[in-house]
Amino acid sequence: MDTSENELVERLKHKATAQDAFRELVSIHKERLYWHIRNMVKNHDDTDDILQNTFIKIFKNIRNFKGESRLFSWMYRIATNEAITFINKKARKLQITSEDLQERLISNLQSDVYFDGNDIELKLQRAIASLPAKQQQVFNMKYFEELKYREMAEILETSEGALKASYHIAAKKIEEFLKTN
Amino acid sequence: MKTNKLPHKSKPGFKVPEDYFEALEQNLMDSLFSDSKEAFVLNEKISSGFKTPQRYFENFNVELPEKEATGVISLIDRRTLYYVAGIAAVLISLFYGLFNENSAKASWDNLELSAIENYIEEGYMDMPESEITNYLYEDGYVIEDADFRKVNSRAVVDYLDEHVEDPTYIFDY
Repeated sequence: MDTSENELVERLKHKATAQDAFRELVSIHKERLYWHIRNMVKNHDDTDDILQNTFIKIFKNIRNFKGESRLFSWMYRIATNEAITFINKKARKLQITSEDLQERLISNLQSDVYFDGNDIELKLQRAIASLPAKQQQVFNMKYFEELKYREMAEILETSEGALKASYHIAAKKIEEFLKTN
Repeated sequence: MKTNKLPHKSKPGFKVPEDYFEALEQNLMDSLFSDSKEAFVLNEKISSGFKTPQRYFENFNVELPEKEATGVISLIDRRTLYYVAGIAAVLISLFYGLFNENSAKASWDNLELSAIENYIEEGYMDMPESEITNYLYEDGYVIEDADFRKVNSRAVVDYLDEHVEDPTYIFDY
């Protein structure tokens, strides 16, 4: 954890400085966390809800952050967990599997006012949805969010080698999907 | 001295089509990445197609709850405990009613925890939290909030580690 991040965490932990520090934290990280969640749940309104919950959870639990990883990775983990929990709950509520939910989310994109993708972009989303959950996550983080393997390894608590292999397999599957569908 | 080694020949009479090796790499690249005339290739960046409402990020604001967080580390969602205990109480009563004639004694030991979890997971629990707390009994005593504070944190973590299948419910802070 670098000095400025350390300082921000300390300010978040103290009542007198917490509010300003929190505003700063939101300002720095809102966009990256938004896109991370959006790539998982696809829909803007759901993403907005999850992002709100993520920041509230971060604020409430900042005292438990021990600085063993970077703040950024810790926040990403919370956002990831929030998004996964949301997807699982939604699938359960609709009494369908997570895979079926993925298909439904993609089908909804065509009528989504906050999706202006062309056929190719829609097809790419379909291709991503056809991957196993872990590969989807790795692909989104590398391809769209352009995270470094080192950062991904810290967030997902996996080795860089495993992530590289996972991304390679995911990319191959997507290429195959795009060519054959 | 005569050896059994075969004489080494770098070109044992085989031939390849003209420009074969020059074309090989290009053919492989084409077959993997650009079979289609369309831009369906990952070496050409395709955007996600997602967009946000106008000025969404400028206007983004997090509404923090009124009550500020305290320093207490919540290792387990208390509501889950309420649910599990409440449902267990209901199921015990149910089992007792059904199997009383066979003198089968219902207890925590012969109650399938997975059945309770499943019951809650499937969303059959249609009862406000305030009402559930009315069913919180253990050995005839109402479980007080204070009792939860006596729970050994290590034991709770061990329990979750052993019984909860979906790790997304456990935050690794």
